[in-house]
Amino acid sequence: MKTVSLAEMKTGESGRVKKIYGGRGMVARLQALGLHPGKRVTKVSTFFQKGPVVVEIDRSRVAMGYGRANRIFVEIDN
Amino acid sequence: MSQKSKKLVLAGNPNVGKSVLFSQLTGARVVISNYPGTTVEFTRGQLRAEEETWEVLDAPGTYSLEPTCRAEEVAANLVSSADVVVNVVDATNLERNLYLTSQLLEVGVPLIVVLNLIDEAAQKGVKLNVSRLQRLLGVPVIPTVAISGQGLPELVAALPQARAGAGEKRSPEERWIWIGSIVEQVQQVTRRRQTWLEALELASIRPLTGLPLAAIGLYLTFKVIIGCGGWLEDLLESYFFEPFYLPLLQSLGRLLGDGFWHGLLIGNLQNGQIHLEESMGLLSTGVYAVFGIVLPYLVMFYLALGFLEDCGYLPRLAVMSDRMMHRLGLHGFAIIPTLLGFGCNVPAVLAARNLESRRERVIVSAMLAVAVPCAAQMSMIIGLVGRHGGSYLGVILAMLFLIWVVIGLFLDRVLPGYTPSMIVEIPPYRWPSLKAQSQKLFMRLQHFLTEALPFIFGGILLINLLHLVGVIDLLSGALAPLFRGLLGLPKEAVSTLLVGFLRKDVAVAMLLPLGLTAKQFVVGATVLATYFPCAAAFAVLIKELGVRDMALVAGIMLTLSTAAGTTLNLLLETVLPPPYLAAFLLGLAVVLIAFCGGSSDRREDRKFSLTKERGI
Repeated sequence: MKTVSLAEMKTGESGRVKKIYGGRGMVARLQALGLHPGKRVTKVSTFFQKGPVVVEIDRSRVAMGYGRANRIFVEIDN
Repeated sequence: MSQKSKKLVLAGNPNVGKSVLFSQLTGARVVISNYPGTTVEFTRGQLRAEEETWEVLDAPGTYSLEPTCRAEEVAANLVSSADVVVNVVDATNLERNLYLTSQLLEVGVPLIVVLNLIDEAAQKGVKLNVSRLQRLLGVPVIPTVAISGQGLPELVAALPQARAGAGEKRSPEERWIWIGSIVEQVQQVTRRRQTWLEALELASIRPLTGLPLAAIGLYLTFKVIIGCGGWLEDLLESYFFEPFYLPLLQSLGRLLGDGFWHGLLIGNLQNGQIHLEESMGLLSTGVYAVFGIVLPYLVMFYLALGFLEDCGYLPRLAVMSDRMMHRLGLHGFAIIPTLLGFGCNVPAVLAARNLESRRERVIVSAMLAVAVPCAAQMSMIIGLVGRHGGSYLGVILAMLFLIWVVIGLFLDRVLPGYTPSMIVEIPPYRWPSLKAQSQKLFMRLQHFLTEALPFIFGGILLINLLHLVGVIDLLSGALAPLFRGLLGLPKEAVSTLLVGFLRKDVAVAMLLPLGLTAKQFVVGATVLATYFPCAAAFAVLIKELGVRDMALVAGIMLTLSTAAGTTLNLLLETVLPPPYLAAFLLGLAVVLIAFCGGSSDRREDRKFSLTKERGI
């Protein structure tokens, strides 16, 4: 199994959130949005040039900037 | 109001339909849209149930009771002051919504859970066992479709049964485990085939399809607003103002004779005739400016904005523009206040409350105040400058865009700290409800008429009075060298700056009687658009930014405005014809974005690499 950040993940790949690196505020905010360790996510959009990332969690979609996506690590399904 | 009514607070995640429910319960009109963060301040209304009167408060949406921005703070404070909290939950997305519910249960406030959007959930193949959910949560659970009113009588009837949760404190991890077990017991999901709307949802967030879609969409919106607005303007002109209003004014003019009242109400005659655009009387230019020029475009703009808001496109636009906004020290979500600013800067500055850091709020407010003209002013510019040809309009818009970019780059560089990147939920596309659309349009027009009319008439009155007293002559004399030397404008244009503080649209209209050339008109309109916010916007900016930051913004404004006016005066027509100048300014802005931006991004990178080294 491979662990990569959400930013590096490819569109269409799914996996489980392993670890989030960030301050308390960021972790709390992601947590409230349903993005927390153990959660399944699917990446639905990748932007070129360090652009934003869109992921699907359950039936909701969350967009986040590259800086944040870069600090969320996901264990990708094989 | 002798009897103290109980306080009912509507709380829930952003964009789950709290405001719809609120307006259904209280009959009050509120703005609702399909993007997270429409409500930034609470709204108050009254609900008369059988025996009791409830004071209903519509809180801004929040994902948790630990606030991360100002709008969420408001929500958390409201919850702690409530007698009963109605927790509005999005049935299509139970798991995420229950996080706030779990916190509300821990706080121990009397609670009712509303499962809203139950119809949309069914459409998406989500089946919920309501009675089991009610048993597991230990508080009443009412399924509703707020927009159609389904389930609301049941909700009102259930209000007295609101119960406090068990009050058991949990850690965030424990909350998610608890939620997971609940969702497993009450929710059944069947997969459905992808609809074309869902295909479009995906296409509009992916760069290869989304960027062209955004560009085409915005271009068409702009074209439609200008086209339909112009058509409406002509219609009004030839079916109302020409045949009815003008003759009416003329006979009134004869009745008044020559004197103070004639001067004030009708204004100056041109070759013995009233000129609706140039006479500058309250009833001539005053009425014509508002209803003949501004209103047609305003209606079209708000119709388009309403549609964009309600269908759920705006957060997608945030994704599309995120890359560019990052170069300017902001992130994609800031595009939403910016777009609102094209309607009126006041709600736009308030909408900036959804941004997390003060830094972002200052940058976006400054950009709004200086470089985003409101709909009224834009209508005037389109209506008056457009006559000289679209390319002159292009010069003004390109100049404003350049100024907008320069402010972002400058503030991003000088303000300390960095802008955290965005996190925003992307709602599904929904067909806007006709009722909500017309209500929103009506509210916005009403706001425009009640707020703008007094200022417009006040502005014209003031100018007439100042003329009489001689203040204007004094000021014009003092500022004449600046105006003539740098901007190439006659000294009479000075008075428009005074009026511009009251109403920008009237100020632009005041340029007409001066008999300016197309070039002077472009310079004047650009300076008027940027030199200072109107009184209403100024008041809200001071409130949101504080005096110190506002002083900084004001300094930027005056500098950039003079610089822009001077540049246009030097370059337009003398060096470059308008289409080339517009292209040049636009190109310059793009180059600046590409090569000069990103100060805050670099600061964030530096910070992140530090934390990585420390192994946090």
